[in-house]
Amino acid sequence: MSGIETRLAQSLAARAGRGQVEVGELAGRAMTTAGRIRTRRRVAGGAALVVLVMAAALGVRAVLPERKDTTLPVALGVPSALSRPEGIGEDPGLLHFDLDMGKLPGDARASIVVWSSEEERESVAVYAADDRLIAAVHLAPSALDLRRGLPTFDGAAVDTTVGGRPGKVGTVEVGNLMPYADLRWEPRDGIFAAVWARDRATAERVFDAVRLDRVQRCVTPMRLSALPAGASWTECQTALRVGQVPGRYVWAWSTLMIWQGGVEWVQLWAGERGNAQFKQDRVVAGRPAQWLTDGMRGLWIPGFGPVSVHILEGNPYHADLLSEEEAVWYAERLQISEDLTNPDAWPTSATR
Amino acid sequence: MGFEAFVAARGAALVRFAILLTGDDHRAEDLVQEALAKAYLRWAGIRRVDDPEVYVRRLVLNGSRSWWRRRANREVPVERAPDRTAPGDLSGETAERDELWRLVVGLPLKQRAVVVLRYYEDLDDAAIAQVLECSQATVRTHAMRALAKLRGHLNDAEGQA
Repeated sequence: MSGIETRLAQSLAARAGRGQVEVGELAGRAMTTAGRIRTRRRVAGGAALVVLVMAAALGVRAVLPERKDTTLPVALGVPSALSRPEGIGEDPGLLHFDLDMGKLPGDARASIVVWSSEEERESVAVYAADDRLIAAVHLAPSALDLRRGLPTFDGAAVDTTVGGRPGKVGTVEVGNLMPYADLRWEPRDGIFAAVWARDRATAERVFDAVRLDRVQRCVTPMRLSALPAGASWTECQTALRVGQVPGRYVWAWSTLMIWQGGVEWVQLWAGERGNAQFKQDRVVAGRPAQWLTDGMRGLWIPGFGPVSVHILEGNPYHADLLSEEEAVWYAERLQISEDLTNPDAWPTSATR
Repeated sequence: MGFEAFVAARGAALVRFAILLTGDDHRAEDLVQEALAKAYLRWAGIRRVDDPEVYVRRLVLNGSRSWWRRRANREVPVERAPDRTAPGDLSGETAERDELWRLVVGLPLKQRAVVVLRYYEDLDDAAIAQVLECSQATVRTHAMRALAKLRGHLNDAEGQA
């Protein structure tokens, strides 16, 4: 080592050693922040984009066919959560449960149902017409995975039993909305659940509507012809509007989350077609497009086949990491299913 | 290794790494907390395919890059560097160390990162390249430029004294 290198090492050691470094609560604080990131990402992927793009939806109404088996296309031959709980959260293209909407507590009318499958967690969230969350169910293959994916309880949670099994009940703040009852327990061996509802009794009734013997596919009308080297598909979301006729749904929007490594996630959002406030500033993949810098920063293509597409950074803390070139790269490789009424024909993964 | 065990074992080292990247103790803790939160979201995957420490260091580094970018301070003029010589310290050796540190804070982020990883963390070029996601040749270039810049500043300062 030269003289300056030695002095440099001494200088850095002296600066790093100055002051106390307390890491006693670092893990806990990081886990709390992780829960917030997930919630913010979900809010960004759902409600905020809906407000942005749906304000002047052009009236496409993709009514899905009535299904007798599952809400989304059934995944035949895939073991259910009851027979193989460790399958939960293993594949973003699968949901190891279904929700019997007819059995939900009937005091709030559901308007939108959002299905999500991501690494080590699967969820469904039911919203009212005013975007207020009515209830949500989250499943994971371990208590740790469940805790990792969700915000921590607000304040202390208390021990309880649910169907004779030990659990915890507390409250949780979802976005900036009112606190919800948050009931967490292991309803079956190897299946860990959290249910959010306005109170604990409602949470239990919501879980009664969960079908753990069904497996469905988390499908979206989006497909990429390729992923960047080293990138992987990590999350699927598909939202359905509850139609006037029981059991009939209308596709509302879908999201694919692609992890590019490091801190970068790219979120591909497709929703009902709309062009409120659209000001074209470029052409991408042969279509009028706009690079948004205010609010939901990213690339917006309001007329991508039958849908509106928004490509944005999936990590809300680093919205500035997604470059225009990256967004264009994804847009040029994106394909949309023309028939929004036939989810059985939609791609079963981000690239197939 | 589980997430909590990892943080207990490596948390302090990560915070010190972040302090040396930012020159700001509070921001360093926030950066590490944010990096750990993101790592926590993908912990199972990271353990399978990556060395968690390399991964988290990368997150801290990227986080500090965003921070500098937000502050429009990517190239921090030495005169504006956040750390100053400790007031009241009359020891020549300490003053010299602080002066050198102040110059380090003024380096562009990648050069500073290489300097910290090489001379504080004692990592070899291959390990530094892994954190920075670049080639070993690039690491050597950053190191060479950083040392040249530091030497230049020190020579100027000695010339003026």
